[in-house]
Amino acid sequence: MTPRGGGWARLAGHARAGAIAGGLIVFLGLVGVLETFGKRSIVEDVVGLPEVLGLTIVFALARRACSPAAAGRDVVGGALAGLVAAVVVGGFVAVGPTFALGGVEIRLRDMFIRASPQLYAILDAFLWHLPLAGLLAGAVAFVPPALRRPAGAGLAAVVLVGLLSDHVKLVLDHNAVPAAWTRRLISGKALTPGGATLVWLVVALARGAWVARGGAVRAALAARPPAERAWLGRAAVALCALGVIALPRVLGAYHSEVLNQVGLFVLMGLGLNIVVGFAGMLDLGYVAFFALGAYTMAVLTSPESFLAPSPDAGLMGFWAALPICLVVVVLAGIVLGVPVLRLRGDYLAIVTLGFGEIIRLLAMSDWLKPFLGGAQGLKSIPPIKAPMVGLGETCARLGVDLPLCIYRVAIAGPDKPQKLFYIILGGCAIAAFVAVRLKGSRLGRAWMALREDEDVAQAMGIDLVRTKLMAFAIGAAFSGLSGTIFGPKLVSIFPHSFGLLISINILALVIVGGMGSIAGVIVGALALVGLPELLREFAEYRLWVYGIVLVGMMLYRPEGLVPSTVARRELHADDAEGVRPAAEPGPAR
Amino acid sequence: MTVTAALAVLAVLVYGPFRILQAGKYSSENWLDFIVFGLAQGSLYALIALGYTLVYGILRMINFAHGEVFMCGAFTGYFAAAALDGSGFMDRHPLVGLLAVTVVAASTSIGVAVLLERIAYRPLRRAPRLVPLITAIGASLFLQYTVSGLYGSGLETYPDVDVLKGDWQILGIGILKTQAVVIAAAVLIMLSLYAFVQHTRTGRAMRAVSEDKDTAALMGIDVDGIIVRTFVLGGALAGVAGVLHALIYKQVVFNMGFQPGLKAFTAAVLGGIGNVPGAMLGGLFLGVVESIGPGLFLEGLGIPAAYQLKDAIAFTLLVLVLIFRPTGILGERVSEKRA
Repeated sequence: MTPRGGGWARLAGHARAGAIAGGLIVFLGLVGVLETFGKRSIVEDVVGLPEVLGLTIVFALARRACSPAAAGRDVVGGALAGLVAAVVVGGFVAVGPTFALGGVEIRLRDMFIRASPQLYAILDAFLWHLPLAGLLAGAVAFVPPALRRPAGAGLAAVVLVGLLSDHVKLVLDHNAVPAAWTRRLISGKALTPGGATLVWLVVALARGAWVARGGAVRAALAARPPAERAWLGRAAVALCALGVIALPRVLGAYHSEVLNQVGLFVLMGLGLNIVVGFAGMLDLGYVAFFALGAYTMAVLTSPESFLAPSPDAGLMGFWAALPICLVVVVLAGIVLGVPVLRLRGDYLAIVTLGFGEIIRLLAMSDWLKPFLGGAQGLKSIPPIKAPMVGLGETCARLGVDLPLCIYRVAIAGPDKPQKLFYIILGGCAIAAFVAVRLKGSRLGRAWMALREDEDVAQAMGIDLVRTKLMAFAIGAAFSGLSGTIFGPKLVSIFPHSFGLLISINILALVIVGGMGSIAGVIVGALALVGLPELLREFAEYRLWVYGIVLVGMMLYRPEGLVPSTVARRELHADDAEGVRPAAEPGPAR
Repeated sequence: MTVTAALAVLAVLVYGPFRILQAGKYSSENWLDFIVFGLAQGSLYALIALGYTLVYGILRMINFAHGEVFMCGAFTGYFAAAALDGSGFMDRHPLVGLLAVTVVAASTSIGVAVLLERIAYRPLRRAPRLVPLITAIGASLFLQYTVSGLYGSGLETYPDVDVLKGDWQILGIGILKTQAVVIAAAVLIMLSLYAFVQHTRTGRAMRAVSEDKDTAALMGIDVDGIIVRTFVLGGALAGVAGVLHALIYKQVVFNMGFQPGLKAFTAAVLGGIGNVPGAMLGGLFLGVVESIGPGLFLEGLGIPAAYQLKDAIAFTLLVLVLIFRPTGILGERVSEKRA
């Protein structure tokens, strides 16, 4: 930021922030985001999604422009920024979709297909709220943080719940909450004003309580003897695990399906996290192993595959095929790993990308069609049958009932997505356990040494070939495991499901979560796979948002949402040396 | 081990052509057509590859969004061409019209490239190497879907230019006029670029910065300015390539930049990244191999519908070159340790 100048210079800064905000809003309109979002309101008859977006942009930019003033208290500046934004947007609306320029009539819609009457109506509707948002941005600093933060958290929660209100309603219905209650909170696809107030109050109060008392609670915990703390920690983990196990029951079939999708990506993310996060090798063709796992499973189990002994039965079942698939995938990891051992950094990224594309093109070609089905893919992959169901029934007849009852209700129950969830959860749990144990092991430390400096690592006696191949092989195994479940989940697989975008998706979730961080992978998968899955109506802009998220994360928070300890320390150490002043963490963010 | 592998690869590479030439499925005219088409395609790759190689030489980063810079140019070129065609100007002054379209396309591409550098890459110049690469992937997605949102996700068709219909007889070979124009324009541009880099002050400064940024700064070179100029140069080449691409393929769509971008990067690596003549040679080489490859190498091995594997050939070539000669055909001008 420029140092504090005279009054005029400051006002010019505010005006600039306002102009940028207004320009951004018009841009969002032309890209079509506002119109698509306009189909949704957050609070019924009060505020819609486009308005929330517009006000947030003006608020954020005005607040940033105000920050040089004493503690950000700058009502005039904020209002000015808001006003300029309104003038810019208003100017765009006033000029309209058709105008004359130098005697030539120009129809904006010939070029910008989104310059529709709806867009102008949307912009017109919230135009005059923009100065208020600016004013608020300048004035909000007068409110003490102890009140400001809970109120802000409450608003954020209202927007989130409002966005997901149709899903909240579905879950409430699934759990037999009386429809009369639900109707009071949620109507159509938005919160009712009453529901919004409730959400706001609950979250604001909770956040307020944490702001006021959180420090004391933490101190009290820290004062406990270590043994007790460890016990409490274990209890918390057990509680979380119970919560996760109960999830499919609570959520119902549709949302379990979404969770399954998230779970598959967590599995792949954990694998890529080993390759990229631990060992520092950027793999852009990671989807290849996913595809290989899926295809091997399909070929081994589908009755339509060339290996099937008869037209109505596959060669073997899921559980028999699983080890074979894993061996195939691990071998592939090693085979693809050997030629690229010498390559570093960017070259590695491009070669792996090339491998991924080659595998997809081969799967799609007529050449391998007799084996892999070409562009039509492989069909009729049998669903996964829970293991040992027969054994369970036998035991039940013998009278050892209780644990088996739980087992059958939870895992071998009739609802398919819910059942699959436990299999995926099991896979994720194993993968996470392996990753956690590897991280601190000799191999894990070798990977990290490799990531920091290959030559030094080699000088320290690390076997580069072995270490790198282990990373490829283990990463491939996780991805392949995910693939083996993917096929039976969807019944059929097509080469189109294994494009480069999947690789980028996995990479994005690892990055957003925080490279090298296992909790980060889960958070990243929930945010980048789960959320878009719930907001399908905006699917058109999914990748657009991905792009923004990737660039934004790299610019402002390269360590990720849940950074690993090492990454956090590293980036802070860099700050201290002044190498990366851009990433300086501060209260301003 | 490496030698055995190389011999095995070589054996396959010889056996395929032997079979197909023996079978005589294609006449020599067919082969010539393949080669000319490959050269036209390759000169597009080369123009885009130059953008990669220039930026990589200076910043040591893969500007993954460069394919999108190319796409943005082709797309705005379409609007200019459609407007000129609609008013009848294109029919009256086809050359001026084409030039205007090219200027519009190149300016857009330059604008996008410079904005990219300013917003997405400059703040990250000292960050770990993976960081700008990931930013570039993000920028690529953002640009693609911004264009799809602004202009729609359908195919748009460039208007036909009457002068460029039909073919010319050159040395007794019939060559499509569009292909001839593309090859000629690309060669001309590449030669002037080479002269620019070798002989002008800016070109010298660019080479100095790519050699060693800090020392160049000490010598009084405005490093930031040179980096911006590099992006301008890369953007202009990509914009021109966008229009030339449209001359051959006629159509533009929001995700058209991805595949050529990837191929062009492959071409840059083939020629030796950071190496300007290398990118030109790599582009032409890749274009030709891709064009004759399916017929020459794969059909002889009895692979049906071999043209489907055209892209696979390009990537296999990339992998093979990186394994057996990681510095590319002409040798790279970048040392890993200095990066």
